[in-house]
Amino acid sequence: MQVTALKKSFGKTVVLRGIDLTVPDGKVIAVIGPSGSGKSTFLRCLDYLEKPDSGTIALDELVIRADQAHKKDVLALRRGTAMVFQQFNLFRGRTAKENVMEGLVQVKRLSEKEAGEAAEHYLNEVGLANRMNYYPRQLSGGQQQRVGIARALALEPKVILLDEPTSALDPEMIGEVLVVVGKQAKQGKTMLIVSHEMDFVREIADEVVFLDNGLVLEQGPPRDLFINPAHERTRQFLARVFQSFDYVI
Amino acid sequence: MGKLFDFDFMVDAFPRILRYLPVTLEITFIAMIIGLVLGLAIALSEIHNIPVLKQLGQGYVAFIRGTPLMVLIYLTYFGIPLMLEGLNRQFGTAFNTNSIPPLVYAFVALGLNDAAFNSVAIRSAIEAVDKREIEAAHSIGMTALQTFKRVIAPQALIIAVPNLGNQIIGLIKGTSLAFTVSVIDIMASARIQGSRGMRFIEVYIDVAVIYWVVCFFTGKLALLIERRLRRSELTTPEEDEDPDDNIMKMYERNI
Repeated sequence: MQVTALKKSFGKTVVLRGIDLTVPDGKVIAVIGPSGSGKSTFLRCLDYLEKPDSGTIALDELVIRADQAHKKDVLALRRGTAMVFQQFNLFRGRTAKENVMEGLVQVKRLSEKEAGEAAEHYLNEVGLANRMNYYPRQLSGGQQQRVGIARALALEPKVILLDEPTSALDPEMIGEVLVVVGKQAKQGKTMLIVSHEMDFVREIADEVVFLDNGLVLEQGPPRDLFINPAHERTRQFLARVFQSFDYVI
Repeated sequence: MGKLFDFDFMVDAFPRILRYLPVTLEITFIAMIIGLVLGLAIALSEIHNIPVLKQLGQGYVAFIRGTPLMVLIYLTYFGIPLMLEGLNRQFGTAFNTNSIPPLVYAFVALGLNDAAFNSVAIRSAIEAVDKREIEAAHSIGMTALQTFKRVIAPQALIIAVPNLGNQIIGLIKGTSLAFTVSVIDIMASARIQGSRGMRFIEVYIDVAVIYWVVCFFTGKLALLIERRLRRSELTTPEEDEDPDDNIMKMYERNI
């Protein structure tokens, strides 16, 4: 996936000032940055949940120019990607299994039987083999998010977009979600993840992108960016984020 | 001096009035269909901000809201023949305005009235659907139509059912005005029975009882439908065979 000069404003507020980013196949790219820097908006633009104002998004041979995007292209982009949401965004009227099956039956046109088998496989993959027939409200936050991840995985997207997948979770549930995401990362899934879990990012990301004020300020392997950031702004941010650990030590 | 209240007359008239219940139910049913279809169309044109249609819909709702049902019935009763006559003169068509069955006016007037109020109930229900689920539907690549059918409509229906149930009850009671355009429903039949024996309170009690019972069961039915639609929200967590949720095994594998 390749993004070029992506811009987005809400009214007079400019959120993205022209973002360039490449997500190579099989790599995990993490986007970090202070709140309000446009991380979530950026990710949502890539799935056209927000309509970018200008720029291009390329997913393999599909190239979308924001100013002349057709419905058909948007659909193709959405079908090539999958999103894991901060608030899980499960279909509340459907069980875990039905949540995963929905896209397979409606979008991928699999038969109920094939979709059911795939759903079972992916729910098993995220450790929910014994929660297949539970409704979202019968599941804990961590379990709901794992259903969300299974739903994304089942579509076999080219890129998985994860929008702060652990931000809405109780601390004790963050671990189970990170384990699941980490496992997929190690299996070579292509991912673009917005996260505040710096230790996790450091462990699984091939590249870390620091977003500030709607621009990519710096980008590099986590080792370099975390230990030796090039910009003062990045340094400040990291210092603030890692501050809490000083107290522990 | 005659009796103050003729109980036997009331009992005798009851089955004769009840015989016309199917007419009342028919008007209710057809007006309900008109009201739901047109109401949905108005609601959708407003939600999707379709130019012209949206303004027409809003104007329509404002007009109906300010028109008493009685007046609306007369407007259709005298307006439809006038319109058809106009078409005849303009385009040489041959509508026979005298052959329109009175029931048609009842369908149209009550349907049009119901549509305006339904559109408000339907619009607010659709707008109350969780935006996050709509985003999820988009993100898995559903088309707008699929999203509507699979996500928006089922949820909006749950929200709308109590209001639509109220509308239908209002509609049932509204049918009692259909006698004014010479439809013979339970109300008209009560009036006929009353004039025949020159006893009125008796037949109006009969007809009131019929309306009460019909409205009561309609309300119950709406509640039942709502419960049924909500069953995914009402089920309690099942007994857990394996409380240790196998994520723990994954942890172990990872460590």
